[in-house]
Amino acid sequence: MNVHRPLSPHLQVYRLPLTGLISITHRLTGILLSVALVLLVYVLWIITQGQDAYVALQTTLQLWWIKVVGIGMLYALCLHLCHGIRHVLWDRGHSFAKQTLWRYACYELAASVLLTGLTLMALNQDWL
Amino acid sequence: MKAVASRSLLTQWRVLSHSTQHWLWQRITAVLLIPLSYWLIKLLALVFSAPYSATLAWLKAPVNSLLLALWMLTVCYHAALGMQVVFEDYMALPGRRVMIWAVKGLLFLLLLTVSVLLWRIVGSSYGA
Repeated sequence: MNVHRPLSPHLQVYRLPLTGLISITHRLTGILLSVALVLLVYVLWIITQGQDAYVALQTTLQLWWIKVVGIGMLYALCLHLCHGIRHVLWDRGHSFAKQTLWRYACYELAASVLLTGLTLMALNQDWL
Repeated sequence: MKAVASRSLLTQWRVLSHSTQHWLWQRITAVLLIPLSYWLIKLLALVFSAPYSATLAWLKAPVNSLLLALWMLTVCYHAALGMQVVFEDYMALPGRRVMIWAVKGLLFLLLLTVSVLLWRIVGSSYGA
């Protein structure tokens, strides 16, 4: 029995409103972060491989484009987190009205940028 | 309009459907990840700029490696639940359930690897 039921086109067809765009970005960041988990395991493995491997890893991490990707991953995490909080708010029944939806979407985007900036600053200033 | 309080949901644990349990665990792990993410960020900050001895010292402190392990457990569970939904939404082929189990298996392997690595780091004399 062939159970292949093709999916009707969606993302490639509709021009999504802001809330829809954020929603699919939330999913995308989730997938990206899940893939990045493999990298994290690799980093921990390097730590068990001794000083030389660790220093080599650190040198690689100083490359400018690696730093850019790193900041991008941090932003992905903050975006995912902020939208996740909005999901929990929705679960409690808040902010479903059309106007509040748009307003909270803007709050959320601002919050994610703020959170990323704050984290980077905290890392720079050794607050953590 | 307020949604039904989740308190009543938690008292009826045994009659919850699989999908409701999935939904609930997704929220529980998400909220837990908010504080637990500190240990991820701190580890990445150390790997980025701290000397090997400092990173090792931080990891060898039981509270840090334990909470990092807890973070990994929570994130793998959260990612497994999330990836399941992604596959269920976009993959309409017969092999879908196998794919979902494959992804969950991979995440479990990552969790196992991290546990073994942390165990080795904590019990080792690296950088002594």
